[in-house]
Amino acid sequence: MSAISVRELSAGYGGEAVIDDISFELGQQQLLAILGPSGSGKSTLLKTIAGFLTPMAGSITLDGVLVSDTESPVPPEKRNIGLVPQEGSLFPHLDVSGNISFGIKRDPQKKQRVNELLEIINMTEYAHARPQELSGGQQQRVALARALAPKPKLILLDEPFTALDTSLRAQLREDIRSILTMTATTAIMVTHDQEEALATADQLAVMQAGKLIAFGTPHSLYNAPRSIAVAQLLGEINVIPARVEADGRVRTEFGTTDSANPDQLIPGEQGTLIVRPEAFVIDNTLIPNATIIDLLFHGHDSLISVRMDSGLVVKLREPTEVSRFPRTPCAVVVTKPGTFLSL
Amino acid sequence: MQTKSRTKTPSLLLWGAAFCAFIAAIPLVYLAIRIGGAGASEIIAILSRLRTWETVAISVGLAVVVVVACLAISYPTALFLTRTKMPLRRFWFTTVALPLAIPSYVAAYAWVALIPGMNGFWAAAMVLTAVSFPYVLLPLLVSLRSADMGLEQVARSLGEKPMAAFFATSFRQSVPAAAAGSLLVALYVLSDFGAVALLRVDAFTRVIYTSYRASFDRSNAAVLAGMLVILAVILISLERKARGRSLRFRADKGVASITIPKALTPASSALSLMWFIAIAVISLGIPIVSLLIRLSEGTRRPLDWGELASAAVNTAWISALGAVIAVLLALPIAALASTFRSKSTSSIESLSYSGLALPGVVIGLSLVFLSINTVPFLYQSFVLLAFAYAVLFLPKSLGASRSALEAVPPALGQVAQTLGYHPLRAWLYTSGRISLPGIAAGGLLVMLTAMKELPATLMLRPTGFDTLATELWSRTELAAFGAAAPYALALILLAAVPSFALSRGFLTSEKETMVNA
Repeated sequence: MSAISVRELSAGYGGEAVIDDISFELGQQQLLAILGPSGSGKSTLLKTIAGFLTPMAGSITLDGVLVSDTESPVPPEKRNIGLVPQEGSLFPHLDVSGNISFGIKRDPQKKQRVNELLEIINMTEYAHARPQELSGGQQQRVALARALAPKPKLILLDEPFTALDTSLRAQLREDIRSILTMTATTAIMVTHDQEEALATADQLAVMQAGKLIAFGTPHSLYNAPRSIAVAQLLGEINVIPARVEADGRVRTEFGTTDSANPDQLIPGEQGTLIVRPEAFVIDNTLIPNATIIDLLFHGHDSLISVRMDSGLVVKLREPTEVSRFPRTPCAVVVTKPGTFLSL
Repeated sequence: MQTKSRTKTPSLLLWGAAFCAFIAAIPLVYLAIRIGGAGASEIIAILSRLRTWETVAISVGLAVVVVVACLAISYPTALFLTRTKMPLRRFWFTTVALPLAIPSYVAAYAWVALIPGMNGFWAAAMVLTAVSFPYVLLPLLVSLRSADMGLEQVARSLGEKPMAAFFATSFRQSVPAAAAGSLLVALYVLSDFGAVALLRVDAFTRVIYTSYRASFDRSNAAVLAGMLVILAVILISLERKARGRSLRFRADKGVASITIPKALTPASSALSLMWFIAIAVISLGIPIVSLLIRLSEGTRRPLDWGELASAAVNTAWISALGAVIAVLLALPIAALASTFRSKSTSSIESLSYSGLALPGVVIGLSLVFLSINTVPFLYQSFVLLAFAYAVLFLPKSLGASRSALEAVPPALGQVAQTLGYHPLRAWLYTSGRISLPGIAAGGLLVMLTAMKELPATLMLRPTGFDTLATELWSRTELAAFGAAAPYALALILLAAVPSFALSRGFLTSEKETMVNA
């Protein structure tokens, strides 16, 4: 049975739909990342799942129990869904244990549970610290423990890392992932950071203008996106004119290559091939077919813009062992399959 | 998406807030009903009296003169304090805010006690300027201190002389702040009763009070009160506009260049010292010295400590009752306004700010009419007086509660709900609990302000019930200046508490608590 199932969900404010016709299912103990630019409706989706917003259409089922439809939604306090908002959401008047025990005040095993959670988040010695004394990452771990305390069916994380420094983010991301795995918790996380979404999630949902435009594993969505919009949201791409050959392979000015989505191709069809920058290689043992026009040095790799002899501009990513210079000729080849999209 | 929720407004909260706002608007509504009841012909008769327009001219003239004087004092003062290394700079920074601690009628009493027979338009203008100029000076200090010197430096580097560069940049940025402060001063002058009454100037408030006392012509009082309210509403809306503009100037991000104060020549140092000493002597020194002289001279009859104590106790508890009512009225409105923004919520909120446009005299008058005509058993009762305080100072309580509630992230309440708390309980345990100190501080501010209130207290107090303010008033009316002195001193001490907190707030966190003061 899926942990959460969302069917044809629409919701919004004042009769105006912000999210429209959203459907997906998420398995037990999975982490779903909802990725989208600001204003795409991802927070609205989260609020509807939490129960702060009544759907205008559709339904939400949690562990097989219907919790949201247009008639009589279960109120947030009865849903058993945990919420971890952005940084700074700890109760400032309570210490760390007070925060964690907030949702289990009447539980006879309260003390034991708080200690258990302090151990899980690795903050036993901070039991009586005030939120103001904690670092941003520690605060978010406490917020997660607070949400986990009543053993919720689902945890919602609303951009939990936005307010943190880049260095802290990666660490907290790992911490939160391992805490969720350790406690076998199903979770949905909202983010606008594609790197974060790709690195953290088991499943990825991409939203744009209130619609769910892609749903799948990070791997499949990155390597075989169904639309240019999805491909672009997940990282840098090149869009290259292409045509499907009779043998089901794809022909571009770089020659004939395999496509990542061979079963969707119709021979003779015109379209574009989506190629990631890392699929290109510069091989100067070959005859030059391009000129380097710009270089962006990133340390571990460089993003190089080249103009093909045909006039097409291509961006490619290359490890930085070799020094390259603008206005020098080079030979560019494609080494990995791209994704063909019909026009 | 911002975390600020725009979810559907809970109807219970909406109705609760609307009810409270309506209660707060009763004096305004009843005043309108009373004026309407006077009949068109009588209103026209009153409006065509020369005396009516004399009153308008006197009030408006007084406001204009005082505003001009405040500006003339504040600009040089602010420039000395923000741009120069004048002697004792830190000391003057605190001192210039202190005149706010002297209620206008206490200042007027002190001057009259020193120079018996002093009265009239110019005397009132001087006294009102001395007690109200910090309303212009303080926002101006903030504005000039936070003005981006970068712009002035750019102007200099483009070839402007220092003065020209100042007028082209920082001065322009300070205009909205000065305008907002000036409008507050104008509002203060229009609503002031104590100073104009003691110095016998026939401004609105005094004429309203005397026509009310001469009970045969109460329609005249009502119509004049209506005109005063209209003037006040105009001033308030202008002030809002000016303040909005002054905020926009400060909304820019990035680090502003810090002002580097100039060293002064000995001659200009001496000049600056003379300027500040003159201000301090007129606004603080003379009133306090006059008071101390009267205090030391004593009276024919020794001070009745029992009387003073009972007046102090009366003042404290009736003000505390008013503060409690104000907080209770403010809470639902503040909770609504801090969480849900919509047309209906902001109209509820502005309705509850009606106290700003109702001078004490007007609220007193309206509640006298109301109680006599509809609920006679409330006439001259404690409840009605406390209610008058609550309506008058509701904006203070509302402002404090609202900013305290707004400081609590809405996510906290949502977290509490997901942890199994019913919405109302979730609110009590998070927003309510966390903002409690701020709400209580607002209540305390109402109480301390109500303790100084004079005109509404005079009109609404139960017979034989005396507060510090009314005791001072009745003794001054009898020219018993010595006997009045202990009461004046007690009032200054009371008033010093909130204005000290206010000036600290201004000089440390530079928050805009001005209007709430």
